[in-house]
Amino acid sequence: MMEKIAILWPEIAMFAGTCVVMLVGLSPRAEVRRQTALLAGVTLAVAGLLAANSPGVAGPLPGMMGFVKGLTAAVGLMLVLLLAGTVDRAEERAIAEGRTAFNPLRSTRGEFYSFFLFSLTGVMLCASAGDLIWLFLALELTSLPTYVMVAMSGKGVRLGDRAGEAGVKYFFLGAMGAAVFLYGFALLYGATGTTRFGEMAAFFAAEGVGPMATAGLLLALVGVSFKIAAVPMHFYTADVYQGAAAPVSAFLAFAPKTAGFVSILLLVSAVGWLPTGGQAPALPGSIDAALWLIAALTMTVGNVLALLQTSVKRLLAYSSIAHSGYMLVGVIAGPGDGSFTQNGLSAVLFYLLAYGVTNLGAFAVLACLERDAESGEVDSAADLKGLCRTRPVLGWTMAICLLSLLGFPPLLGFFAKVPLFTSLLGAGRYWLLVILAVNSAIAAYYYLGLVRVVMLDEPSAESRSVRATPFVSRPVAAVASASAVVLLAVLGNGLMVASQAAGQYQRPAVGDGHAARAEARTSDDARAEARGSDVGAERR
Amino acid sequence: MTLLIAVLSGFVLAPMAPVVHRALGRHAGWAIALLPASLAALFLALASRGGGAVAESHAWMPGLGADLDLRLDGLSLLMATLIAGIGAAIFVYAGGYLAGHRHLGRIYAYLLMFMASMLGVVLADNLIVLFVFWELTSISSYLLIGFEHADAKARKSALQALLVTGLGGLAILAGALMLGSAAGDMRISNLSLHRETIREHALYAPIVLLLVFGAFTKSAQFPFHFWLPSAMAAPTPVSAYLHSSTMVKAGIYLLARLTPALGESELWNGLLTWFGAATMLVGAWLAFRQTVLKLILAYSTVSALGTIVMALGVGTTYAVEAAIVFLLAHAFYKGALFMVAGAIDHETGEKDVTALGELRRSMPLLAGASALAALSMAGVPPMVGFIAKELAIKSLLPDTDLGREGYALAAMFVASAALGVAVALRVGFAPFFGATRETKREAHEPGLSLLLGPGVLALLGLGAAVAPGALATPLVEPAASAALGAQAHPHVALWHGWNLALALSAAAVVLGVVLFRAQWAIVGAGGAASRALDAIGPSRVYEHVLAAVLGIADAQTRALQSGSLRRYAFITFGVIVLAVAATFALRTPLERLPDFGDARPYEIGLVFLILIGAWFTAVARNRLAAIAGLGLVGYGIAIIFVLFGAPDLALTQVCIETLAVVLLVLVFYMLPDFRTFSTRAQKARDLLVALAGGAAMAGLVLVVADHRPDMTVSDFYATNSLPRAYGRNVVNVILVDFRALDTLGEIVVLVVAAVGVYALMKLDPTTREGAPTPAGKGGEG
Amino acid sequence: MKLLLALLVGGLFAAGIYLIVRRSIVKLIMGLILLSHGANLLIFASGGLVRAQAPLVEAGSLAPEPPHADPVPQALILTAIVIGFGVVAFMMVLVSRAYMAVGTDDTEEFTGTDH
Repeated sequence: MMEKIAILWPEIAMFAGTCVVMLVGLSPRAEVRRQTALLAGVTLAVAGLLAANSPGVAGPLPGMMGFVKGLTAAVGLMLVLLLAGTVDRAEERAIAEGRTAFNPLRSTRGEFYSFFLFSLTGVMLCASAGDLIWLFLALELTSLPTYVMVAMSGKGVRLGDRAGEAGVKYFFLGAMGAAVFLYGFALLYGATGTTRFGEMAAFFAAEGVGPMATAGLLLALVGVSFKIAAVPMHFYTADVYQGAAAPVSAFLAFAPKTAGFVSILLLVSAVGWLPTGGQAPALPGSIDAALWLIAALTMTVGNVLALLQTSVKRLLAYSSIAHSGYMLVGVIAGPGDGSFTQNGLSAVLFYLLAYGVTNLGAFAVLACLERDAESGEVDSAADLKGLCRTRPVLGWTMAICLLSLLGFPPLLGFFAKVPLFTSLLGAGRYWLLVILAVNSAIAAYYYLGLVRVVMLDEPSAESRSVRATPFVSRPVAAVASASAVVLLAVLGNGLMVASQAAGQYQRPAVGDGHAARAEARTSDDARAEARGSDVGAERR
Repeated sequence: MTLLIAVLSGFVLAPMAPVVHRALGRHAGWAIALLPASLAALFLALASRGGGAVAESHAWMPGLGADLDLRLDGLSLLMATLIAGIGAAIFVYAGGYLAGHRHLGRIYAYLLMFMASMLGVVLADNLIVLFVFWELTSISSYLLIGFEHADAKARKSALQALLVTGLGGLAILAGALMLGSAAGDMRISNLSLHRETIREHALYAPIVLLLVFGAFTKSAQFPFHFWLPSAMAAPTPVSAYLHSSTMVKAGIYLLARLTPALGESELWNGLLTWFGAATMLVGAWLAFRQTVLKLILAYSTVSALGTIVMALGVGTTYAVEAAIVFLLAHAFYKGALFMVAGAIDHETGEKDVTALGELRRSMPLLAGASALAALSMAGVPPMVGFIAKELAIKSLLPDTDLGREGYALAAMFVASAALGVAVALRVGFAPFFGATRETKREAHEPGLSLLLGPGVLALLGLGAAVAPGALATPLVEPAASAALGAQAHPHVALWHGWNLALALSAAAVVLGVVLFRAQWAIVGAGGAASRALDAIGPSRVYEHVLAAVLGIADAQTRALQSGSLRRYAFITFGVIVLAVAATFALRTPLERLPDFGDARPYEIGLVFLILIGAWFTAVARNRLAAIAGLGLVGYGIAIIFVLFGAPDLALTQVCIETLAVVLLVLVFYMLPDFRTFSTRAQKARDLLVALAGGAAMAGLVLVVADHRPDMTVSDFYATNSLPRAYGRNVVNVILVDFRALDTLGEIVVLVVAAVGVYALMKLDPTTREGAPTPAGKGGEG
Repeated sequence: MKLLLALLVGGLFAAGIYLIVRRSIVKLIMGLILLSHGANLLIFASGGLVRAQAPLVEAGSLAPEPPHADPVPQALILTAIVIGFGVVAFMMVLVSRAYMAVGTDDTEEFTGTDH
């Protein structure tokens, strides 16, 4: 219990901060209310500092927790900047102009930021999860707030058509996903008799992975595919990213995805990458095949769907699907020999970081532009024509982020993609390598098409009529993202070392199986065995 | 540090170029040219110090095997000197050519960026670093080609060039990573040490194919040559710099650089030789057909690049030396001719050779430079182009190492050389010495900035041949040695004695003059065939592939992203059912057929009731019936919980079910009654899918219930519940004691759901867009 | 009993899927409820079925008398039921709000703007 609390300090800080934020958001005084975002930022900073000092945990992936929590806090901080003004904009204006009095029933700021923090807390909890129930709860905690955030990010206090619709679709598929991975968890429990990942790993190491556990893991993966927007549960992505406000879309592309990948890593590492005769270690056949299929389909579907989009948000949504496919490749490649170039797991973690930082910048640029306060953000590619001319800072930010998403050197996205390539190469998975390369080529078409619009096209009357949103912190977030994309690439060795450490995988030795479970067992073994067989007899 | 500074200085100066431009106006080009000029001097000075290659290494990303290893050896020296030296000429030229252009400052910046990237490519001694700079040249050339923003064609060409070279770049990345992992070393200069390992490696063929493909796209080899002529939409200084003398040579540089590690295999030599030869011929013929100056030059560049690749492919000492000399000669004459073409365009407004003639009267100096360069291109002594041609023919003739195929290659070379002579006459002489023609603007001698570049380059072409010891040999010899991986002794001299090579060289010139005379007749005759070939040419293939991919994307978007929630659900369930079915069909045959066995009659009855409830819910035509069915299911399940030893669950289930029913009734009050949306056929289809899903799940339960899990965890809780937690209800103890943190988490999730419900209630959905709001008084709302 | 339970879960699942692929948004909720019932029963089955013996420690003994039902799945199901309820409640509100905003309960009209 105590050691569990010791690793939970960041979450505890987040939770406390969330409560404060919720209350502050309801303050009748505007200047107090205005501090909500600041408080959310402080909360994240504190949680990040605590995460930096968090101890390692037992289990197959001892280093992952601290890294993920730090990453969550860092990207969360950038998101706080970006989220400014997403809700209550009209309401606050009306209050400031004295047209209406503050009404706590019309203000949603407090809830909005606390949902944001709740969801990030969920991501952190996913990383702390040691067993299935915990993981289930953490995933729900991550997702539930996002459903409301999508619905809330309509215009002003109203539930916009798009946002409402998107909210329903998103929620419905999310609930279905949750039900599916609950099925999977049930089967996993049924197969192993435990809910703890460590014990599960020991069980699998000792007795192999049976069909029931395989089915359980497959269902769990299908369920989690909703969170990472992967085939077969990727459908909502475009509708939702487009329906929600750009800052919320940026958030959706980070939080649930990170939580989903953390879950996948936890689940899959419980099964483990086993040495296969002479080859690099690989997942058991059917899991490997399923992941292979999901990864290949996810990248291809995402990239191909993105090809024809004229809506920038939809394009980014589909490309977000594709990026999930890329990351799954790292999971398949496995831990290799543990070095940065060979370890697919650290490649996944590093990619999560790169994607989180970069994608945020692209959405931030959209969030900085609007037609007018009423019709909301800019979305069509035509609105970005010649952005580098009309607004050089935003234009270059967009171009840099898009090029980084494409994996163009020497930007962060490139250094994230290289380890995926090399880990596949090390694992000898050449077909997947080919699919990954072909997909990168397809992605080049639409990313470069958009880069062309931003950098080379002549500004049109339409795109000149776009104006900036009145939130200073949004362009700050955009610029922060673009500078991170450039600077982390040049000075990124430290982060690589960190993600390498985070991606270290420890396979339980075969002999550990009984020892691990013996820890949970304090009464005498003989009695337990005897009772076990009695129960079995009755069941038969 | 010197090399690093040399590479980075361009990047550092690039953002300042617009400032320099604003401050110095039309002299900015001269000022900026000081940087490349001093860099060129620096490289020459470094090389002349002797003592082999200059190398340095800076830690960057050791985890990735990417350190900033830079190395200046013979090959790099040749390339770097060309890049910096011609760069200096180009900056001066651009200042004159684009004077008054509103974005000249930006062009300087991009050109600097490009130059620095190019220097990075040729100085990098690490595969990843090389790739980084490689792609930087692509992106900066993209910016330069697409510079005429207003011109849609320019933007399209820029994208095409970037896509083709980008695809090649990807291949380079894959190939480089594979090569690095095969050799176990990312340092390029170490690769030749692992030569045997690489050769034996299972991935040798893919490595070669990928790298060669990447190099071919960059160096515009057939069948990827089509992007180069379209890239001529760029301003002429850009074409002169990127598309004649530097960027397109990057692919050749890479091939030469990797020859010591990868070369001398049938695959490598075959690919390079034959694709090079094909490019050489195709390029020469296409150049011959053109009338637009820049396009002629572009295609003849394709041809020259093909020649160099072919020579590298032949791979003998002699051939590699020929390739290097050819590279140097081509850089001189083609850079000069491009600048001449630009100057003509600038002064007369004409781009088409058929509209030009007798310009020597109005621009004698330019005519002189043009004539010298054209002579070099035609391979006439005393120009360096002649030497290059001689060496190339010699290397192909069978008295060296090549067998029978040497004859074929030599014949192809002579043919393309003859076409080249005709083309050289067309671009270098015809505009200046042909019959007088009216031009759009009155022609007069261009200014110094436009004359300097072509003049110097043309004179260098002469000087390199007349006094090879001064410039040519010191550059060519170490370069050839580096590409060979052994000491080379190229014979850069005008006179090699009476031999077959000289005869063939002369024959090519004579034939070329004949071709020049009969050019339009031949083109007219061959026109129909060429047009037929164009229809299936690589450019068309590119368009068709692009169209096909977009077509697939369109179909897929329609099929998958219909926006229909039920179709999404359909697909998801389909996948789940398939996954479950596949796992079990493959792996567990049920041991024996299950039966109702010990099921008691009341249990059967109960299950039957629940199923009826479910059925009722599914088919109900009104809302209350559906809710009643749902209630039946919920309460029925509660009874099952009671029957099988889970009273706590039953209690919870009853509470929750009641709440849910109440809520449903409340919500339904606000929603419309059921309507019939689906046809009978749709319902039948849905039912089929539903039953399949149900069957899969039923099978799953059978397997699950057959399985005997390890009970140790449960037993731990059971035996410790009372002694350690002082609770008699094990389930409760688990929830509130052993797993209290989980329960806390559960409560948090519930809280979030509750707050979510509250927040959603606060959202005011009744006001549609544009409608006035009560609080906002019709304003913001 | 096994077969009976299998039939039950299968039936619930089938009815759930059938409802989920209807177009009325309310039927979606109902389908989801049936699906979660199915999931709970599946978890229940994974612990093995034991008649009538709740995992309770009788007075005077230290541990529940064997054979008793497996307590761990029960704890899991409790969690699932409660969370499931939260989700359903949430969904109902979301759906009713969306209905008011969009003006239809037909999910086919919830079409984004794919092109």
